[in-house]
Formats: sequence, structure tokens, C-alpha cells
Amino acid sequence: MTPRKYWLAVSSLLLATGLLYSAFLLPYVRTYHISGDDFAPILDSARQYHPHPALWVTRGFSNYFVNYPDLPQHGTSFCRPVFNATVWLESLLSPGTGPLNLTTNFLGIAITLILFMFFMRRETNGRFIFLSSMLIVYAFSAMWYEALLLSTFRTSLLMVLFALAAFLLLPPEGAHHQGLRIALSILCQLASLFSHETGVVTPVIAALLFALRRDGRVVRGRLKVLPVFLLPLVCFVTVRLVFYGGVDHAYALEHENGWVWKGITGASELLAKAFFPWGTAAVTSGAWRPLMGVGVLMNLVGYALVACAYLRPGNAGRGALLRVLSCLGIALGVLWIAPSTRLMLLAAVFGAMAAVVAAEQISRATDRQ
Amino acid sequence: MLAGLASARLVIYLTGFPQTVRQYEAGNRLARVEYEGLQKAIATSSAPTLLLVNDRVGLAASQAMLRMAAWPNNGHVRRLIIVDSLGGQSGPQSSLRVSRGDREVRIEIVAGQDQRFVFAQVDASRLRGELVNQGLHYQIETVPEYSLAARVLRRLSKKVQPDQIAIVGRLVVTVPPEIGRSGLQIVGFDPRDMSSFSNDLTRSAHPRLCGPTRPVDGVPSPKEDVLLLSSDSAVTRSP
Repeated sequence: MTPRKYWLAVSSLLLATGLLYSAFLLPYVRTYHISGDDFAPILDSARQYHPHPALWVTRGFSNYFVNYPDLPQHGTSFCRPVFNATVWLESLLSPGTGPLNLTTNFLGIAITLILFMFFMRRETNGRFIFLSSMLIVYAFSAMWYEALLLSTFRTSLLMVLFALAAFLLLPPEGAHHQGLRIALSILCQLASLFSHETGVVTPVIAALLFALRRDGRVVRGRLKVLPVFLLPLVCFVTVRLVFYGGVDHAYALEHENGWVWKGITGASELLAKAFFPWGTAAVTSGAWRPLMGVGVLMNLVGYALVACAYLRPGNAGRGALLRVLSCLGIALGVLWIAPSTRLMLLAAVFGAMAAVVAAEQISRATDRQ
Repeated sequence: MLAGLASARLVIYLTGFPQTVRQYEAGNRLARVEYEGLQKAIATSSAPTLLLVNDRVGLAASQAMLRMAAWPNNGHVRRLIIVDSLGGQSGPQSSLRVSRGDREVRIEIVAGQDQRFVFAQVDASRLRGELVNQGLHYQIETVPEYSLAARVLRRLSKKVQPDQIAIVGRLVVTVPPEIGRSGLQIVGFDPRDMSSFSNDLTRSAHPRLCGPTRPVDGVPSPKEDVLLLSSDSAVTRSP
């Protein structure tokens, strides 16, 4: 398939995705009104309420969810100034409480899906049938629902958008303007980190993608540049230490039964959706539906594909698969304290990529036979 | 195989997403009713203190919601206080009773079977017995609850603590005279049919009804203006 035909087909697929979402979303958008968590960031960020942008960094969400000031509170000292900035931008469009508050959500999802296809094409052999299948798997996952329907839940969406932009900006070997591209990538990593705390893995994955070729071999000349990827993390930790008194002040880390308990429940929940996220919370809350078994089966297929490709690597070796699986592991690693499906947007990119890499490896081996 | 995964995903999406959207759509209607009701109540209030009872949509950000609703009219109402939030659907067994004695105002809420009080972001493990918040006195009944995973682990080890605290049963909030005496506006939702109400308990012995009730969660439409003020200034729902 020529590049032109390829992108034409991808565009049609993205358009079809948009139409399929629109079919259900249009009545929702017509009646939309902000609710729940939305009120707090709008009050502190929208133009009509005279916000102080410095507070987006220095206080973050610290004072957002305090309804009972004299009762013992869980900490919510999140620092997400990129999110605040998008709320402010939206308020320039409309000062209301209606559907324009979802502008960033819809635009963000469209851009993220486009970046997803660019990234998948760059990191795999680019077989259309594989990539288009994974676009469908990624685009229609339950992890998007809250980002689509609730204004505030765009934080993890912005995180993955900037993460994908950062990965795409990483220069290939021998490309021009290496320094500029790395600098832009670092900025995007910082934006990812300041959109949502789970973006803490973005610089780590970016460093891994930068230092390893697609076949998993280390590019020795690039190792000396790796310390630069610490910059976003250093910046994040500094902001946390200076203004919030520590890096770990968030309610996700406060669990009555301790870390071991949290590790067991979080990890078991993540294992059930490692490759293709689905709403496991419905099961633990008792709202089990038989169709959820499809979600479990999809993940079993993911495990089977990867195991098959790993056990019979052929001439390609295991490097390519291990590289993607490492990225998936890092993205999942940070989620064990908060294994929500809605936070798996970045992990799902590498879950889908692992499936494509494994399928390509298996199909190559089959062709050879 | 990957095409099969895509088909499976589409099946999940087509069967799950429309249902999710419908649920959130109902939330939109509720949010509009509560927010616009608050705006109206604050704009017409003559009392300096407003209490929000059984908030339905603000939850973790209900204080911010109140401040937003008061933004253009925050000259008169000086104190905005969240009493509680309430999750769940209409509960015929539930009740709300606001009564005014000689000195203090007493709000008693009994949650229905499928309802629960929500104190978002408050450490639930320390929410029990009697508490004071913003001058209001709370009497709270709680029961420990175990999630599915906690129940499994509890079979293996008895040291597993309840990972959820449910505030069910009865919540009694007493507004002391120093807050109530200068005038009190109470707005919120009746847990029985989730219709909204608004009451201005001024210093006079004859409180007035400020706003019509509106059903919000798809339950059969309740009668208009069913909020009654009894002779002893008790504010209750008609049976």
C-alpha cells in the first residue's frame, strides 16, 4: 500500500470512528451541563472568575475539594497546570456551563488518535490490517468514556496526548535538528507530567525509546544524552518539594489497609486488563455482565499472542517485543496504586503495539514456513 | 486475530457505550436542575447563610459549585455551607425533616435502602459518632463495609480492615443559634423523590417557600409545592 493510500484509509477510519461516537454523543452534548469535579477547576481557572495562573502551579488542586474544612480530609494536592490552562482557553470561547466545556476533550481525543496512528506506523512494520484493527481496539476502549463525557477527566487524555507527541518528536538516527527535536520532546514530556501525575512514566519511556532501536539493540552513541530525560522529572519533583512539601501527597497513596494490600488488589486488577483495558470496577462493584467476559478473553488473546511470539522468536529475535513490553510494564507499573481503566491510556498504546509486534513476528514466521 | 479483537471491541462498545451515555445524560439534567436552582435560591435569598442539604451533583466540588452559583449575587449570602451529599435513587423509605425549635434548627435525614450519604474527600474511617463542621453539629451513623477483594482476603486473615465506611441510616445536623438566628436558607433534594426544595428560614416565625419542587431522576412527577410548613415552624414533606 502506498503511503498516500495508507493515510487515505487511515483518515477514513478516523472519520468513521468520529461518526460512530457522534451517533451516541450528539444527544448527550445537547443536554450537557458541568457537574461534580468540573466546578472546582472551572472556578479556579475560567476567565470570568478572575483566576491567578501562578496558583495553578503553587497550590494546584489543594483547595479544590474542601467541602468540610473541619473534618479530616484526604490530600488532593495535584499539580496539573496544563489542564488549568485548557480550562482557561475554553472559557475564552464561552463563559457558560454548557457543552463548550468539552471542546478540549473532543479535540484531544481526535489528535491523540491521529498521533497514535503515526506512532504505531513508526514503531512497527506498518501493516494496515494490523494497525487499523488496533486503532479500533484503542479508540473504542472503555478507558475513553469518562474523558469523552466529563470535562475534568481530560487530564489523563492530555497526559497521553503530550506523551505521544514527545515520543514522535524523538529524532530517528541520523535525522536533522536532533538537539531541537530532543528539546521539544522534553517540553512535551513536561506537559504530559503536568497534565496528570501518571505522566511520570513519560520521560522514562521516552528515554527507553530513544536509547533502543526498534529491534531492541542499544544505540551506544545515545546513552550520553539520556541524563537530559531526567529534566522533566527533576522539574516535577522540585515543584512538588517546594510548593507541596513532598512528592507523595495524594489520596491514591492513602490506603487504610497499607501498601501490601494495595499491591495485591491493584496488581490483580491490572493483570486482568494489561493489554486491552476494560471496566473491571463493574465486576468488583457487583455490576457484572456476561459481555465483560469478552474483555477478559481479549486480554487472554493478548497474553497468548505475546507468549507465542516470545517463545518462537525466529530470526527477528526477542528484542523488539521486549522493548515494547518494557514500555508497557513501565506504563502499568505506576498504575498499581490507582488501577483505574481511565488512567490506562498510555499503557494501552503499548499493549496494542505489543500485540502488533507479536502478530507481525508470528505472521513472518508463518510466511517463512 | 487482531481483526477479531477489533470486532470484539466494537461489540463491547456498541452494547455498553449507549447505556453509559444515557446514565450520564440523566446526570446532566440533574446538574442543570441543581445548579440553576442554587443560582435562583441565592439570587432571591434574604438570609446571610445558605445550607445545601443532600447535594446530588457537586460531590467533591460542591463548595466550588456553591461559590460559582453565588458568583454574580454574592453580596447578600455570606456563608455557603454543604451539609451533606446523597448518592442513589429515590427512596420511599427515606425522609427529610427540618424543624426549628426555640433556639436551634435541626435537620434529620434518614437514607433509604439504596441511598448513602457521601462526604467526598473526607477520611471516612474517622467519620463516626458526633462531629462539628463549620459550626454545625453532626450525629452520624456508619457501618463498616468490605469490598469483594477485602471479603476474600478476610477469609484468609482476620486482620483485614474494612476498606469502605458506609454512612447509612440516619444523619442529624443541628444548626446552633448563632448561625440560625440571623436567617437561614436551606436548599437541596428530598431523598424520597429527589425533588428539589428551597426554604428561607428567616428570623420571623413564618418561613416562606422560595422555589417549586422539581423531579430530577426520572421518578414519577411529584406534586407541585408540596413543601409544608407546620404550625411549630417544622418543615416537612406531606405524606
